[in-house]
Amino acid sequence: MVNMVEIENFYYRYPHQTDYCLKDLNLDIKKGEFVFLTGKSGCGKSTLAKCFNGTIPHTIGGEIEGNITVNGKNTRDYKVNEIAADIGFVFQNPESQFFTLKVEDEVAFGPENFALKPEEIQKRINWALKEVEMSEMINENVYNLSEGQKQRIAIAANLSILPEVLVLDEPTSNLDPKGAQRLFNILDKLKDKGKTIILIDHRTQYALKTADKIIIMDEGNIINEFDPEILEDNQIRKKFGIRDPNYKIRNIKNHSNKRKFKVLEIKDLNFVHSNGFKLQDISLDLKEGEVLGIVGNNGSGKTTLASLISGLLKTKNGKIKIYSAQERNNSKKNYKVGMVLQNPDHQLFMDSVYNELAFGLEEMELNPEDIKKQIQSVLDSMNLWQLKDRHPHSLSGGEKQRTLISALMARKPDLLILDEPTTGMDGYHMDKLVLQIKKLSTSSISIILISHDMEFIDKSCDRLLYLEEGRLSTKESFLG
Amino acid sequence: MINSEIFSPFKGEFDEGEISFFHKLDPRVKMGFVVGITLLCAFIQSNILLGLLVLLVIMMMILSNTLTKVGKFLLIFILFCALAIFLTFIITGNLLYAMKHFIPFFLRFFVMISTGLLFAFTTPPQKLAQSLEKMKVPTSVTFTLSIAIRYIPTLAREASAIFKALKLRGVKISTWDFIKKPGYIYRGMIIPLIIRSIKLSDEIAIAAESRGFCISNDRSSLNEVEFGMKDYRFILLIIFISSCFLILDASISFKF
Repeated sequence: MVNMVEIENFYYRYPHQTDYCLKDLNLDIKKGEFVFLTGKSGCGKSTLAKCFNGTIPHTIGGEIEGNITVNGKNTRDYKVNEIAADIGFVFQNPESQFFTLKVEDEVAFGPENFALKPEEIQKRINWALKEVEMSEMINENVYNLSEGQKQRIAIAANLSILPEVLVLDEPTSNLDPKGAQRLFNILDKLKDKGKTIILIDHRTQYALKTADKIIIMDEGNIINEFDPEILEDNQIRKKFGIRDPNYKIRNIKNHSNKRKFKVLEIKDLNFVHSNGFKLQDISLDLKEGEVLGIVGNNGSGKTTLASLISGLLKTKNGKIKIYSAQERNNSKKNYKVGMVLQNPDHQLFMDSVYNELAFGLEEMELNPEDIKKQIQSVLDSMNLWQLKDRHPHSLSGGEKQRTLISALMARKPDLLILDEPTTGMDGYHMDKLVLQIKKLSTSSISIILISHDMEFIDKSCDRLLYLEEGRLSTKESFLG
Repeated sequence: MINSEIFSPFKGEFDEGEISFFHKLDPRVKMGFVVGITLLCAFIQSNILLGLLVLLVIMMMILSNTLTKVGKFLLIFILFCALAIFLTFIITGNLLYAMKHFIPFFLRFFVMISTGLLFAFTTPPQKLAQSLEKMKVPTSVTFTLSIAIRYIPTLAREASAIFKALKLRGVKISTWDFIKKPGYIYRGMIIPLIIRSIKLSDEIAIAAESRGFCISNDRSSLNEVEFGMKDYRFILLIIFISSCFLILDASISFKF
């Protein structure tokens, strides 16, 4: 078989950095292979992906040694757009890879750049959309697509240039299990048609069945090439922070709680969103220190429910009551619920971690001494003290999230809601987050986790709630 | 809160029944129309004719099914006019003076603003870029323009996510808070928004290149924009109406 991608003694370091980010990489990928590239966050897998299509060194810069050849073209000699016909690239965030508003125009964008004739472009559009099972959506506006559909269109938009190799950088991060399954089915089909696929991801569940080869990276090195069965090795997984491909949801019972205080009570909640989405007949109780998981596919109403609990959305239909500890002690308090939204970039406002925690505390009418003490104790308990002077936006993903959780903890909430906290998270960091959550719950904070990451939910929750199309549902119906 | 409806012109999304003859015109014709009408209302002196021109533009909006959308923006403008006239009346005590002073001015502005909005609400960014390309504007310029317009709703969504996060941290965002503590809001809003924009634009640039953008000087396009009969007919009609206006205006000012 011909080698499609060859990496030879490859080193790379980013501009203005002294350490190499990728070290002594050697790898051959054959034509028609499905390669699954994984490893901890920050191990250099996304950086390597950028080397494949020449973004490194042509756009980002930095210093490279060694060679990468894609379909016979050395990335040193070909610019990103010159190599585009050989290698397609699908990014994590569909939002930033669409240039037009209509599905058809989007898929046409690539062929148009190559100045193909309209008839040829039309032919390729029809073919590419058929490959990703989206033919009927040809005239749809990209704003109206679901996350899974957006990723499929992103694949089609690359297929229309007829590349030999397809690189996908964490394409399933925003997808629910159904959407991810569908994406993998399509990739599997493309593999059968002879495309070479390099998938960078954390979801190992599907890779076990579809991948030919697993490549594990750690600290800028390629550890080795393995057979997919390596994913079942518990020790290897632990060592390199890889997710479990075979987890099952235990039978999480409504466990008889010794804790007596109710923190949250929702009764007969009904809500109609401005876009027509409905939440119907939701009732639930939450005790002090309990960890409740709310699961469901994208668009099942999880985030809407959380927004209602946190007060971002309001409704008069039904009862949402939060019983705070202070209330039981007959004192006043404004902020009972803390909620962490999905993207940390939207939620960090200040110039240092310390100030981030102090942000908004003055409004709570605390005196400066108390504020200081409070922040210090939270920083200590969340292991952030050594980072207190760093700029929040310079932190890694996991650290940003810890800063955010701390910023809300400083407000002493009774209930903390985390919305999809494990988006794009590896096994190692997920385990750390699970520990953090256990710790919070023992300090009698109730937690609601919203996620479609079943492994994470399974490891951290005391109780589960299934949502389906705005209604409470059962486990059987969700999994079936 | 940010109202997504405000950004509707940039989504380039039309319902089936909404598409009128004006939507179908070549963007170049529409651009010419905007420039032509602007010049026309600068030349016309007579208030009556300006009033007629306003009626004509309103009629165009009704015919192109955009009156309700454009109306929301025009309402702000009309309120502003009323306020200006009212204030001048209070200061001078002379309503006639205020009206005489402001009405021709606002009539002209009304025509210019509404034709501009008419153009924005009926032209998808994609088509605009294509027709600019036909006018020999370089691809890098037209592409940047269409991307800039394409990402306005995305930025609005980003901003609304940041608003939510601020709210969750106990920052109340009312108009009064904006006036009281602008620095607070500035930090809270602008910094994350700038960081998101930089990240997004980086990603967009790489994504565009990896799909072969700018590989050759000529780009083809799937749906070519072309001058059709309807475009020529529209141009003729507009030239005819404009000349009528100019002749009438000349004869009116000649009389008095």
